[in-house]
Formats: sequence, C-alpha cells, structure tokens
Amino acid sequence: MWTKYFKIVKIRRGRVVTPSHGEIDFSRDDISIEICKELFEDDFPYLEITEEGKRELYGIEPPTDLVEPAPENVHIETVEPKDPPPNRKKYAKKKKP
Amino acid sequence: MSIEFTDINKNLPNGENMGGITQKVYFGFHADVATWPTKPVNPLTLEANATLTGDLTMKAGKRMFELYITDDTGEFNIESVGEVDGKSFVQHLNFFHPGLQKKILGFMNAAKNENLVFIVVDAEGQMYLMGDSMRPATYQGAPDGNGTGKETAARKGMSAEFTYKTANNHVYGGSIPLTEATSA
Repeated sequence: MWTKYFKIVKIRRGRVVTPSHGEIDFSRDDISIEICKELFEDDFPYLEITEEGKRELYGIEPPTDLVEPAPENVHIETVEPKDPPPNRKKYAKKKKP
Repeated sequence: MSIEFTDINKNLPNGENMGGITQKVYFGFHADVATWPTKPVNPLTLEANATLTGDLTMKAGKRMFELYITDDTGEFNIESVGEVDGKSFVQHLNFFHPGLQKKILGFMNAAKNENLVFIVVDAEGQMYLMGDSMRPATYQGAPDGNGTGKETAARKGMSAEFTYKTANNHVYGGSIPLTEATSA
C-alpha cells in the first residue's frame, strides 16, 4: 500500500487534480506506488516520503546514532546528522527531452 | 532582455489540437489562496516565458471547488488590450451550467461581486490560472443569458463570464487541491 512509503501533508486525505495523472483520490488505499513516486519526484506539494519509503524506494538507510551512550549525569550536546534529508531532485529520474 | 528567440515550428504532439475546454472548471475565493505559483523572472527561453512555477495552495480549512459545465459551452479566450507601449491581456472564461438549482443560483449570488480564482483545463490538458497574488478573476455577466428559455425545447440554466487582467499569459503546471488544507 502506498501509505507505507508516502504520507499526505498540508491537506486532508482526499481529491487532488494532478498535472500528470488527472484527479487522484488520496483517501483510497489502492493508488499505484509508481504514481506516488513520480508525483513526489515532480515536487508534488502534498506527498512526503516515509523512512520506509526512503529505504525501499531509494535505498537510503535512516541515519544511525554513532554516539556512544553517555554515562549517567554527564551532559552531552546533540550531534546533527552530517547528511541532509534526501533531496527530491537528486533522486528524480531524468526526464526525456 | 535576456530571452532568446527560437524557431517556432508546427508543434502538435500526436497531431492533437482539439478545441474547447473540459467539462469542469475549478474555482475558489481569491482570499483563500495561501501561495501562488511564481511568474517567470528573466526567462531565457520562450517556453519559460510562458510557464508558472510551483503550486497554488490554499489556506487552512480552504480548498478549490469544481463546477460542471455543459460540453461545448465552455471557452477560454485571450483578448489583447491596451494602447501602444501599454499592451496587456484580458483572459475570458465563458460557460453554461444546466438547470436553475439552488446551488448554482447561490454560487452566482455569492460570486457576482467577489474576487475569485479559476483554473481552466483545455482539451489537451493544458491548464490556465485566472488570478494571481495581485489580481482576481471577476464576474462580468451572462453572455448566453440566465433562465428557463422560452420553449419547452429550450435549455434552462445559467451562463457566466469571468475575466482576469494580466500582463502576460502563462500555463499552470501545478496541482488543484479539492480537499481542505490543514494548518500543518
């Protein structure tokens, strides 16, 4: 099901007219994952990829915490992950001219 | 001007060039729009000079709506206006909606003096956005009349014309949200 890999953001789950696939009812569970992936890569504003989607569709593993567990009563600053979140354009398929 | 001219050949993908618009137009209140697609800034190509970038999104709790129109009654028309060195365009949307049900009467009551936005889809699927952050689409009248008609064979319903004044004509390539926006 597409909802494992993507989630709807900024709107309620429902109908949206898309430029490439016409009207899609995102309240349905049977939307093709390929269509969702294509929309996501075309910067469709209402789809966000899940961690499972990153892993399954793009082979991106979630960042692992390399910091060893801190001993008790010792304050340690938060370490930001080095890699930024995946960029849609970076993973987008090249379009035919 | 940094734009470069190129040859403009006959370009009809798959030989398609059907006229008219689809049987739905999309509308909303101008004030309910949260973000507008951006117009070209210093475009380098002719195509970029006619392309809007990004999506029209709505404020929380708001959405766009669809309006059914009778086939072959809808028309999107671009009128050139203005004096020399002051040319611009007026985009016209005309359509006929069948019947005199309360919904369409209520829509016309609400729309006649309001600032609106329309998205029109032509027979090839190309979309035109009537409205921008500065200017709305507004009601102009009923070019084919409103009412019952005279004969029993007449077509009862509402016609309407909306216009939008714009410096340039663009194609909209974004989505149309028919579901309420959320605050997040």
